[in-house]
Amino acid sequence: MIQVKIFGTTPPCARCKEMERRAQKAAAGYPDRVEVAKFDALSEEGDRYGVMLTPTVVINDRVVAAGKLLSEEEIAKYIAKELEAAS
Amino acid sequence: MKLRMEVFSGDPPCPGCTAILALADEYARKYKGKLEVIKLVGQEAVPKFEEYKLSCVPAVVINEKIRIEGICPSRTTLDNALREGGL
Repeated sequence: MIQVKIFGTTPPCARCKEMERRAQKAAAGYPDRVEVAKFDALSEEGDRYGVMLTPTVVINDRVVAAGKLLSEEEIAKYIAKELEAAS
Repeated sequence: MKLRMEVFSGDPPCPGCTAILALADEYARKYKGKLEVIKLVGQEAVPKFEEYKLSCVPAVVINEKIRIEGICPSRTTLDNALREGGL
């Protein structure tokens, strides 16, 4: 299972919400193979990845974007790459 | 009667939230005695954020009515919102 973690502010800002929405849409292309979870940037989980900017995207424990809104296609590419590496 | 302005910000604050918090301080000074400014940031903002059914920050609620959401307003927009609120 590929894990996509979105780190954002609490309460969420428009960019963090949009990032999560795009990640969910990208994950929908890979049913039952990708899990998207949203986390507070100021959490233990956020500390684990050294989150300094929001939104931050972590895919399978690797920070792929920080402070930048990725497109749905970009997220899908990262997911595809991870799936390829796993197979 | 004092007008009540609740200003919502995420934590960590994105640029929009940083700007709206500064604006809140400015307006608290500008309308001292006429306007009660309450800043709600991060986790402490969540109960009210949910009560008002807000969807993202930054946001401004004047006398329990959502006036601005998802953007830091210009001074003109905020002045108009306060005027509509009865200031």
